[in-house]
Amino acid sequence: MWPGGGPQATQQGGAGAERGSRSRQRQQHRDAPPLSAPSSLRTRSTSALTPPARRSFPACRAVHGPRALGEIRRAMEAAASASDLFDAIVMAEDRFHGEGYQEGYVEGSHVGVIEGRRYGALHGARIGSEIGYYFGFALTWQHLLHRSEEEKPSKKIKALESLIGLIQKYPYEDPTYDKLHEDLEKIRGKFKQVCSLLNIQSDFKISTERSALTF
Amino acid sequence: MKDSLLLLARIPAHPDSRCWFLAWDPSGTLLASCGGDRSIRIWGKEGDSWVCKSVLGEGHQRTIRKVAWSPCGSYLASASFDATTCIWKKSQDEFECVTTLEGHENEVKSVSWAPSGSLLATCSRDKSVWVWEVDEEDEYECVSVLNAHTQDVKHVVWHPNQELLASASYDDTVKLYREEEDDWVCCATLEGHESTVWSLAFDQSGERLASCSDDKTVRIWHQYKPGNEQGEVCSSADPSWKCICTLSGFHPRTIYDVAWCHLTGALATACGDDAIRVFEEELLSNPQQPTFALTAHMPRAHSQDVNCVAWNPKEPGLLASCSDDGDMAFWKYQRPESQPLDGDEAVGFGVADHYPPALLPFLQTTTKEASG
Repeated sequence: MWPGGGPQATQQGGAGAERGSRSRQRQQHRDAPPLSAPSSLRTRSTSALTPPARRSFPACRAVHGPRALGEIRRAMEAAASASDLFDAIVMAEDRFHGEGYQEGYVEGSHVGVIEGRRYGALHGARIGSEIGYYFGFALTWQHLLHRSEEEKPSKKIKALESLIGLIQKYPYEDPTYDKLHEDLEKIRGKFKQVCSLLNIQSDFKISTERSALTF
Repeated sequence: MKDSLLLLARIPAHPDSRCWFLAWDPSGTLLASCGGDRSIRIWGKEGDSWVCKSVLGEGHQRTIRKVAWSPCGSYLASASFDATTCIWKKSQDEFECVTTLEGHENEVKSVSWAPSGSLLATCSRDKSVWVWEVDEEDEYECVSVLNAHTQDVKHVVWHPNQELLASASYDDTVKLYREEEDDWVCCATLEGHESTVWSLAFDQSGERLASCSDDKTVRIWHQYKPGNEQGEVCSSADPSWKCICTLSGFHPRTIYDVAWCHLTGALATACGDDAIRVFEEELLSNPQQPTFALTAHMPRAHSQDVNCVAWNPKEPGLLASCSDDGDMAFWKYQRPESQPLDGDEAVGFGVADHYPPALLPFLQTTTKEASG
């Protein structure tokens, strides 16, 4: 590894050159550049750079011979004079992370809006269908009962009217209304009461159970 | 303290099954029991022993969870896990099922008759509370379906002299309901319990409500009417209810039932640790912040969970209990007597200078209980 391994490898390399080819071979397998990097680069890299251990710089790795070293040295000197260039490399991860986050956020918001809309439409439709069923049921029975008995309003009629009133008052245009579910529960309760008064077993049970499960 | 609860009789009321609930008829002469064997039994006293007068067997397909007598004593309502509530009419010693109330989606957990006898409340695992109205021809009509709770409703009970209904639920709350323009509305939610509220009991005046819970506590709630002298704020025209006492540390397990004796003011509890306990309010405690003392503790009152405790409405201190072991037991409760304090002890309790000597025996009891 570059930051830690550099100086150490340099020491070994210096000794190995005198000891013979075996240690030189070993040295070549190492990741680190075989020769000492300029001191300016070393200090700079170890202090300013604290990358994850996995990270390596391909440009440096590729350097093996003295010729390449000369090139890199020139590049390093140029970099040291224009330190912004090096910063651009060093800070690349942060920058890309930030940019990636921004792009992801925009993309995610977009997808989230679509998903939310689909979810809202689905559940809105479910509530609408349930209430619509109650409304049709109530209007039909109101009609039937009014036709058959013309006298004073019975309990059944009163309960039906109350159910119709609740359905008409329900805020269909305002999904943020804080008593949305409370009022829906009231409608469901009133519908059950009406069924009980009419002595009807509601065949809507499956649907209400389905919607009860989802809330 | 051990002698303050004396076993009078033990009867295998529902053998090889659970005995879920007991209800004394208003005259205090008959006791109805119900259980997992889908039967209701009516018990009466003959001489010194309790005998089964009738078995009501054909009404329900599943467990009968609770029974309730009408205030007139001629009707018995039974709530069953088969989703129905049966109304039984008494004629002499015979009972006949006159109506079956349907409407709940699943298990009916409790049933209660209003003091007027013209209203009946039922509650169910379907999270709803139903209020039924009875006319002269024994016709029952649903007046309201209340979906205020968010979970299984365990118990319903009426205020002793008003048309105010209370319900307890698996959602850890107690809710109160009253009538408003042809319909019923939830007018208060009592929050504080940290787990399922299993049962409720009003005191004789109806100003206080006791609730017992899976959180191993009993809470006492007090009703504050608008414009009360204590300065408790009521947010609307409805009275507000405030927890004025929590009995904690007495019960190691779930408390399944609580019963408030309307004759003596003693509070009995049925606990999952097989024990029965009785509490009494300390004489000199502040009514707005009362303290209750444990005055009787009967460990192993039954061999399994105690499901119900019921004070006889006419005979002070006569308590009936029943359990998962299928047994029913009768107990005689007596507030513990104690030796009068001698002078030194009285000084020790710090009461000698302030209270008349007649109070000393009572003080001694309560102080001991409080410290022990």
